[in-house]
Amino acid sequence: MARKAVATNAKTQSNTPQFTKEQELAAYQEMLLIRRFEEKAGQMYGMGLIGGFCHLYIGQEAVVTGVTMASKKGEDAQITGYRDHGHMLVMGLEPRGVMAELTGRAGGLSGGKGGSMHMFSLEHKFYGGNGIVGAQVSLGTGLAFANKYRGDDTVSITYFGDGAANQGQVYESFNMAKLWNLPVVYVIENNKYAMGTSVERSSATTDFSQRGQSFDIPGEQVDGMDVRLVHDAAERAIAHARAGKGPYILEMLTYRYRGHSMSDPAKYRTKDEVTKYRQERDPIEQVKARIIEEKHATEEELKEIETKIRAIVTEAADFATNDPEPDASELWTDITIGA
Amino acid sequence: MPNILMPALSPTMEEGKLSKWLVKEGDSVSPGDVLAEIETDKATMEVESVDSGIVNKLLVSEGTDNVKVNTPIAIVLVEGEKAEDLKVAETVPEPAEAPAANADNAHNGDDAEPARDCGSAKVCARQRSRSSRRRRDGRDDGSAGLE
Ligand SMILES: Cc1ncc(C[n+]2csc(CCOP(=O)(O)OP(=O)(O)O)c2C)c(N)n1
Ligand SMILES: [Mg+2]
Repeated sequence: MARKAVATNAKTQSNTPQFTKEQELAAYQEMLLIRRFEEKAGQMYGMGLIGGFCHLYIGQEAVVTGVTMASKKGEDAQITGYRDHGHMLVMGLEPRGVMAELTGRAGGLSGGKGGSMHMFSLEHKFYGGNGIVGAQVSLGTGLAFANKYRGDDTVSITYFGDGAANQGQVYESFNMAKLWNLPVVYVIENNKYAMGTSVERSSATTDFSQRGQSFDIPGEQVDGMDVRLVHDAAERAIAHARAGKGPYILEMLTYRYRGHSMSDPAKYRTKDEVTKYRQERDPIEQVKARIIEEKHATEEELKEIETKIRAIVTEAADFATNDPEPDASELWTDITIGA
Repeated sequence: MPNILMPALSPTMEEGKLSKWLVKEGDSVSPGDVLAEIETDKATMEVESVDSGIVNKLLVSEGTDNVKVNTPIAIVLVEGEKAEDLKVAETVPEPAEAPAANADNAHNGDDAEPARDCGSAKVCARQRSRSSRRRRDGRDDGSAGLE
């Protein structure tokens, strides 16, 4: 735990932190729920049930799962971009409410008026769901400002992509976050691409964990495909922020298996690259292999978990298919708040 | 979810070419396995399996042009399912553009059967009409470059 907060290359991390049986099983279930949910969403998009945008989180499950396990669920705030379904599921928002929002139905979390990128829950301290690349960084920093102002001992966890990391407002936010030592953890989900542009093509420096250097914000590069490493680093970062020491950057090295959005054939990367991640680094398969090896559960018991999760996803999909669209009168609601 | 349907790979896609099968009848598949390649006017994309199961039947042959979105293209049987239960999929008629009256029903949410199964021609048509309605309204257009 006392590891120094410097950029440690994922490959050189020895002494891999271990999970207890409970943690392994919890991580497995959370990640599997995201995976199955997203696969179903992809299928429903293909059936024409989901209009507008839809960005899947498949491949990146370990990031939000490990970080959330290290946070105070329901107290620490979280905010992210448009690739947000996994974040909501792990934070405990209803799968059927998320799915029905994707299909634009009245029972969706935003009454069917927000869609994939626009869901929020004050109760769960989830602040979206943001379509403007990088905007969540300023908003997340503002959430940390509010936390500090209120003195409520909570942390703001702010996720953004490698592409977003090159946006100007990120650095304005870094400056203020360090200037006022705000309790914010910046989680950069580096999945190697911003739409079709690789990190190498777009970034002058590619070690995003060091992007806070000139503001004196510590950072670490983490293997974002291993939920144990994610969790371990997140514990460190969150403790730092909660102790009043200011912001902390975690660069999660991760990968998305699907295209950027549903209509992206992903021709800017090789099939081999995708296959390699899927076969050798898959976050869910890693946990599953350990569970079996450590005899935390039998294949049979894991199958039961899978069945249970499939049932949740099927129920969500049925609801999202059959729930009515919002009434036309809803066009005029939720626009402004009365003074 | 036994039936694999011709997916819409973009909001404006109405039909596409089934350019290649990457599985054959009798193969077992897992979630994420690529089943087929689909060609649209814009791009070639992959269709992935959502289920674990056995490919029971390929309903559309490789190289078929103008396969309408939501047409069943294959049957994958998940554990415990039998081909007989799914006969209906093979008898779905050539999809036709749904009449306007149907389109209005599409969003009432009054269907008791979950449309996702698309197990009957009626349900399939309803889904198609939903997407064509959306296209007519132009709701999804112009989205591409901005996401
Ligand atoms: C300000 C702004 N510029 C451009 C876009 C279009 N856009 C949407 S997603 C995206 C790529 C962002 O990539 P990254 O931050 O790496 O996140 P990822 O999609 O990989 O999760 C772009 C350029 C946008 N939504 N907002
Ligand atoms: Mg990216």
